[in-house]
Amino acid sequence: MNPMPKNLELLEANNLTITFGGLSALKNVSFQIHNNGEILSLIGPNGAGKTTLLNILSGFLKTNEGSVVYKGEDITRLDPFSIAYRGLLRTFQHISLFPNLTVLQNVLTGFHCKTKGGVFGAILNTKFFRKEEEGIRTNAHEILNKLDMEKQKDVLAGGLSYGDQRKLGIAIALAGGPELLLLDEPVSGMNPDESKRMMDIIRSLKASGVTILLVEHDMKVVMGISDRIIVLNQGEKIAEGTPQEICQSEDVIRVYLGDTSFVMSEQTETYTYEGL
Amino acid sequence: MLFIFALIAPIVFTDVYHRHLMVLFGIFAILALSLDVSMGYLGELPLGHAAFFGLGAYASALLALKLHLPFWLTLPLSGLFTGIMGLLIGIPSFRLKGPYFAIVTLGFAQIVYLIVTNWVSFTRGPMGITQIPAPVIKLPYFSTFTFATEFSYYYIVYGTVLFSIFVTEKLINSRTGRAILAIRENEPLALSIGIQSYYFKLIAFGVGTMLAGMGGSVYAHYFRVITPDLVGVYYMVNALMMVMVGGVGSIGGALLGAFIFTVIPETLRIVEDLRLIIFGGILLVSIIYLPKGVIRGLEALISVCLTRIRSKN
Amino acid sequence: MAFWNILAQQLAFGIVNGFGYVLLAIGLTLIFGIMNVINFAHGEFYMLGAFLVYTIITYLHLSYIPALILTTFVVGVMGMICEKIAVRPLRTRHELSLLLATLGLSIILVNGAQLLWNPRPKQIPNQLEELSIVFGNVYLTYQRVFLVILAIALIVFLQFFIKRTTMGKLLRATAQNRDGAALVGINIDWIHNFTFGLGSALAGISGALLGSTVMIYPYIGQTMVMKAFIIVILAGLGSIPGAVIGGVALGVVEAIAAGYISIEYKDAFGYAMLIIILLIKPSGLFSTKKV
Repeated sequence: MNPMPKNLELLEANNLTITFGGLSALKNVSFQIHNNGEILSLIGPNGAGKTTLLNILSGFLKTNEGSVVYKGEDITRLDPFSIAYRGLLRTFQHISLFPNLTVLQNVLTGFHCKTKGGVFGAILNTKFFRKEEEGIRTNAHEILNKLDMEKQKDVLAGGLSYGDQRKLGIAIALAGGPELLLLDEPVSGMNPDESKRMMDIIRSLKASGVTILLVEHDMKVVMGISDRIIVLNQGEKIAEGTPQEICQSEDVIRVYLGDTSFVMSEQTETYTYEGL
Repeated sequence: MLFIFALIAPIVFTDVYHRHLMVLFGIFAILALSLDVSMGYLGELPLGHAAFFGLGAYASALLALKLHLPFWLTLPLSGLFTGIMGLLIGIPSFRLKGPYFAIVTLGFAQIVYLIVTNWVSFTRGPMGITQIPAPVIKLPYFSTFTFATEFSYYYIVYGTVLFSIFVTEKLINSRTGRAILAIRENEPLALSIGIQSYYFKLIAFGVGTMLAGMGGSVYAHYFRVITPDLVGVYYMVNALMMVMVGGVGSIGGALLGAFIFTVIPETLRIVEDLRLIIFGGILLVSIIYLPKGVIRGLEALISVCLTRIRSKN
Repeated sequence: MAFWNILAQQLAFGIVNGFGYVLLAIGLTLIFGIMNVINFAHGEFYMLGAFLVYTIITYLHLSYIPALILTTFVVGVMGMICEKIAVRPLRTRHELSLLLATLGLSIILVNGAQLLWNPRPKQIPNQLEELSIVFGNVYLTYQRVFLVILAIALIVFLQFFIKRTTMGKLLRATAQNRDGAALVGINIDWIHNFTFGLGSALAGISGALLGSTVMIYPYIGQTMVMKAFIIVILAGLGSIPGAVIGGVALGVVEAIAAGYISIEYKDAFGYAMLIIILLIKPSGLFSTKKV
């Protein structure tokens, strides 16, 4: 992948619009993800269009209105696998792993777009093939160690605990060497302990240079790690800004009426999330 | 993935009957493995798969009889032929999934059957092809050696089975293999990490049909007579049962299935007429109660025993 | 002059066969539309219909029409029994498992039939087949005319049944949303059982009717099931009007192909049609679903 000029946005979403059978899932959604290793969160009530947006960005949904530009290249019409090769990877909200393979095999599979080996290399056991296999095995162990899953490397993915399954989903995506990683509700269903650990993982991803777009409902997580937040409601972008700006935005509060975390912030006037 | 190298000794059984059975087992093992690659590792159901077995038999026979090529050439060439046919049929077929894919491959298989049965000038139709030559080696100082007995042919089969296992195993434990499995396990996820599913489905299918064709070739030069029903329903069902009952997506499973379905027809000789009914029943029962095949049950059993032994020490 | 006569005759045969196919196809499409099951054993119920009517006439000495009525019920009941044994246990599983299970069922039925009635082709003794009517220059046996009339009557009746009766409403509800239907108290087990029985009965009628126009042998179900699939996929799984048009179309195409191109390969045209449709519009010509 070519190094990008610094002033180019990593990703631009321009006027994305898509309707399903008369219902507008997204209406003129535009935003940019900067090329500075930020964590951008996408929030909004259920049905706001967050997953639809993720699907469009990653190539699983196609739309005729609007465009997605990644590193200066229009990727709106590309297949998901081509998008992966360009460094844009994602996780899935529900099962984001290969259930009947072991944890290690799952991660090894993730290296697909970073390796080249073909059928003949495998059958003839060429030197190239062997070197590549060794290389990805080493990298796989590194990733598993980073995510604290090394001990489970031979466990079948389908048998993991829920929290570990989420971590595995991230491990697989990491293996693909993402520059931009889309995470679809990474902490949903997790208890506070697991959420905190996931937040640490996401922070360390950012530290290693990965830009992250995060879709999430859990406000503690969103407020705790985001550099910027975008708020969607009924398919439209209604707010964009830093966490402070967002929780002071009247539009957002109106949409989230009833969410006590926002009410709390008004009372305390500060916005910190320590000691989850 | 258990790779139990349960090895040879057809020298133990000295009567023709048992050796014949072992050759048959080998041929079915190739067929089962080929379907396992096309189906078990891929996660789709190519109902038309076994037609490639028959196609390979015909290709090999015709190459031997019309072009006078030796077995050592007709075997790989028929494999190549069926592999390419598999790709050609796969290209349109893999635009579909699930039952539609199954039916369209079945449709192609039926067309092949019709052609083989009705193109009498080329394939001799329902009369079949006879007098297919047995493999021959011309050794420099010894006289030419013909592989015409069960004993000698066994080693040809054995070699081909080993080759099939080798190819399958190497394929699966590679980047390509992981991609194929990934498509089966979770296609959207596979796409999202860069796996071009259409391409890999074709590869898996092509390898599977190639192996099936080689199996057909081995069949043709052993039995020396082939008829259109090799391209028909019977072998399709047999192959499916071997893989489903033995164990989908596992080399051991395919071999086990082939073994079961070589042995059972023989033990059921007494109730010859009921044989297929029992087969159907076995298929039904195993789908309901043993969806992953006998091999998984065995694997589970073995691991339970091993844990018991270990905890006792 | 002779050309038009032959053409008309072929077309007539084609239409007759087509209506036979339609009944078979409606049965299959009902089973798919309501139960989401791809029934590979469907052809076997066609075969059973033919053989049962043969057996009843030959051994119970009933005439054709009473035999037909009796056969319909018996085949329907057999369908219900098979559903209980082979389909219901797999309801929660992947649709491919169901497909394989119906394949297993089909094997059992075909080979059971081969045992019960030997493989030699037989003729159903049917007086209707022995006399003919003439329309202009086209000769059709009474049986063939009867087939078309009965088929049309059944099609009309079925449409009425599904659209206007309460039972029909239950069927449509289950087809649209199985779990929802269960939640409002509809007995899904019974609906599925009934549907399978109905579909199989239709196949049986088709077999009894069309079987009278040809020689029958245990394997006729296997070719018929492929024709039914062709029609149903062509038309769109679950569409009855589509099945009607598709069935007649297939009958006509086959007749023309057999008469003018090649008898041996006439089935191939059907398969070719199937493959082409699956590649262009897999959801079928009359369906709006996306595959």
